Amino acid sequence: MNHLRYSTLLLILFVAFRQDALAQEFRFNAGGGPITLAVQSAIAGSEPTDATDSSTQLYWDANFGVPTKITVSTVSINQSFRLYVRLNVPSQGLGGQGIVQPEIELIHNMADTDLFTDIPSTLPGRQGFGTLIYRAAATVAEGNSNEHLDDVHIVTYTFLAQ
Amino acid sequence: MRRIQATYWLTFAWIALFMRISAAQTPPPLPGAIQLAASTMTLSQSITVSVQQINELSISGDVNLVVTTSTPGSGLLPAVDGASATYSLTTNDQGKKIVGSLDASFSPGISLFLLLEGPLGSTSSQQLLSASPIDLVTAIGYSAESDLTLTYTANATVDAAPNGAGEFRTVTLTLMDN
Repeated sequence: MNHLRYSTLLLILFVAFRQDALAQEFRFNAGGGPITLAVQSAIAGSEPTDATDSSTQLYWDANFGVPTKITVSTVSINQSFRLYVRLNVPSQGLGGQGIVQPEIELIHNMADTDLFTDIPSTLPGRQGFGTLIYRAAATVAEGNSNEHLDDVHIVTYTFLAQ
Repeated sequence: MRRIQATYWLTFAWIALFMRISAAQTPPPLPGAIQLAASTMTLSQSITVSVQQINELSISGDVNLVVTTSTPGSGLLPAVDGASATYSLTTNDQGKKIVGSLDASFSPGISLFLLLEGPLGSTSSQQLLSASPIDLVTAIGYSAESDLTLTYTANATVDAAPNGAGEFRTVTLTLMDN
């Protein structure tokens, strides 16, 4: 009989707090593992050709109750070359609403910088996904990895109330 | 006893419902309010940027040199062309040089010299071309320059045999380590 009572109580509590348990979500939808961008070609007389990567996708559900944003920062000790990122959000309709920020240069120890802002707090706009477009660039004057070693970045994306 | 149990469960239900509504009506944080740690989520990704050694060199334009004149009492006048051909190079490395060579020598009495306009900071000098590579530009550092000039000078001695339509030769430039 006691089992029945406790089960009923747990059921009531579960139903009451079910929606609160479905909190915000922020994850890699595709990719997310280590990436290497190799600048390795040039047209004679021109600067080296940039290397790009678009294999990583973010997914979010901004169930914060307030408008939300995604920021980016990086740590790359002894950085020699340049790395940029922007978020391409294909679904600017009902889902994935927000404001895409211009391409951001990732610099060692930079402050958190807005990548995607004004994500609404209500459905369907609070849920969305976007592709991270990385671009690595190096001028001839910046040399090569044989001289400076590769740049290794730990890029951090933060999902927070705006 | 049954009535007490019913009241007991009803009380729990009301408490649960009250707590649920209270949670849903939590006001948004004030501007500038410190966000609780639980209200942020982070993802991290490792990105490696590797820049390879890049060395690119290209030439454009063919050159036609005709030795036709002379000054009475002296040798034939050289034919010079510094406008028909240019070269471009890109290197993100240091300590490079450009060497030049011919695919085959000219007939006796005919010679070809080449002077390259070097990229900034390099050293260049006019050299006689032959089948053996010879330094044309040295001490090349980081460069991305285009339309640099190549100046060819053809010489012929008076005992060089006329060669009609001319002798076709290919000049090869190579960008390499000093």
